[in-house]
Amino acid sequence: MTALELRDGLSRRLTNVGPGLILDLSEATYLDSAGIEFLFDLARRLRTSGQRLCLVVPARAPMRRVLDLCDIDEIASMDVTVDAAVEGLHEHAP
Amino acid sequence: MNLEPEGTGSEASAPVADGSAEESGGGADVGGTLVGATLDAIKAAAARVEVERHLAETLQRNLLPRLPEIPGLRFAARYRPGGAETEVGGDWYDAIVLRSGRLGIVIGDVVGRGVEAAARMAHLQSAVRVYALEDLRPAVVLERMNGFVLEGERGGMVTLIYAIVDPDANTMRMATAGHPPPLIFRPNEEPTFAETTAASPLGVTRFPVYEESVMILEPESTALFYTDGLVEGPGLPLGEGLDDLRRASEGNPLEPDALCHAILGSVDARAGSRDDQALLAVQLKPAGETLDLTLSPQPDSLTSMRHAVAHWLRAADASEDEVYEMLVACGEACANAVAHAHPATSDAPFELHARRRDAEIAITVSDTGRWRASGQERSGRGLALMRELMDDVDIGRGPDGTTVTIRRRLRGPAAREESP
Repeated sequence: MTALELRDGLSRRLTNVGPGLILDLSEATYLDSAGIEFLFDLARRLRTSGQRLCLVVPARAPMRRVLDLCDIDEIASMDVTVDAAVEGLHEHAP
Repeated sequence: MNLEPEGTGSEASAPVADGSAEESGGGADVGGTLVGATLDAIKAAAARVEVERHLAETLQRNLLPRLPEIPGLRFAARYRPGGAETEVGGDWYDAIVLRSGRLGIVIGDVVGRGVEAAARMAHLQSAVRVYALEDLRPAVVLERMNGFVLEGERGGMVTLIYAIVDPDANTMRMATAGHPPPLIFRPNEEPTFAETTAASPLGVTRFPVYEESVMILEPESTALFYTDGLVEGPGLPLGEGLDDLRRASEGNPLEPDALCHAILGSVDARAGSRDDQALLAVQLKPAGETLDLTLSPQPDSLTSMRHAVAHWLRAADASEDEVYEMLVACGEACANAVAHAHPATSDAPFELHARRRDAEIAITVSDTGRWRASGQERSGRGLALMRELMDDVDIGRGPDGTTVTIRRRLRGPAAREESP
């Protein structure tokens, strides 16, 4: 699945209900600047409805460094597992 | 494949037989005009046979695929129609690009001859492709194909091998449905037949059992797939034919094109007229010092670029982290080449050259367009990423195009073990 397909698939499913969106990237094999651009865009859209973006990235995934380099922490939180991400979302829920 | 008694394979041979029967049945009354007419009929029938033969051969040749380019693999294939008294059609090979840089190999043989067999082969070829592209295992592909032959189409049995070659893992996984096993050529070894589990051809039984075998293919090894026209012939039983083929293959080159040439040459020396023959040879390339790709400026080509570069970097002993980070940098360079391909020349390819000198990897991407203005956020981020991930990024803009060179020094296995 590419960033473009993900964007099209997500836009139909996103609602403004709930604390945020968890995107599990554990199975993603490749993420380039187009993908990162998409993540920034997604986080911006979520923020307008007071929601947050959480990314699930395994600890040893090579993708981590690329995400760090792009200062992804400014717009999203990163967790190692989906469970941790769910917990994180609820803790910060208003 | 020619398993039927002579004459039943083709309708086109009937007028010839009828004509000659009429002639001998005419008895004493044979006049000049009748003989003339019969000769004309024979000539016309012969012409029809020739037309059908030509049609079948054209059909067959056009149905056989162009071999894809896959990093790490080298191919060659040949198809040769049978001799005069046999007819064309029914043998086919295919090479299908699968996910993750793997390759599906098909070799098959349809009972029957002529246009009918060639057309049937086309159906079967498409069906195998569909199952292969679903990423199914070889045994499952054969099971589905058996169902397809039993339910979906009329006609006799089919023999088929489906194999998946993984150039990264150096493995080949395959299953066979009544088709003779591929011959494996390893560097400095005598050729041997791959071990396969015997199983019935497609279309024979409703519940066949297809077993898979997995074998290691060392770099530079070649697997040769073929149809029975190569090992079976008049007065040559299959067993002897296989022995013959193996003996005749000793000392043959491993390079696929040269191997196919040598094999067909030795077949000619061993026997005369035969069934048609198809063969396909695939070789695992040795890891090279350089990688040279010519890519079309379509987003799809970025995927094949990534497989090629990843394969090459792994062979150059880069760690998984290094492979990933260099792939991202390389992807940014190529994405720009794709994005700014000029509409008027949008099919103008761009080139990627990668080389390794000692521990340093240098990758150059050159195109015929201009680097996009750095004010655009996407390419701005891409450029920043490249600079972070590589030791050095050099962008040369000229009137003829843009050349991006990225360099990075590999840490090497020793350094990797020290740092956890």
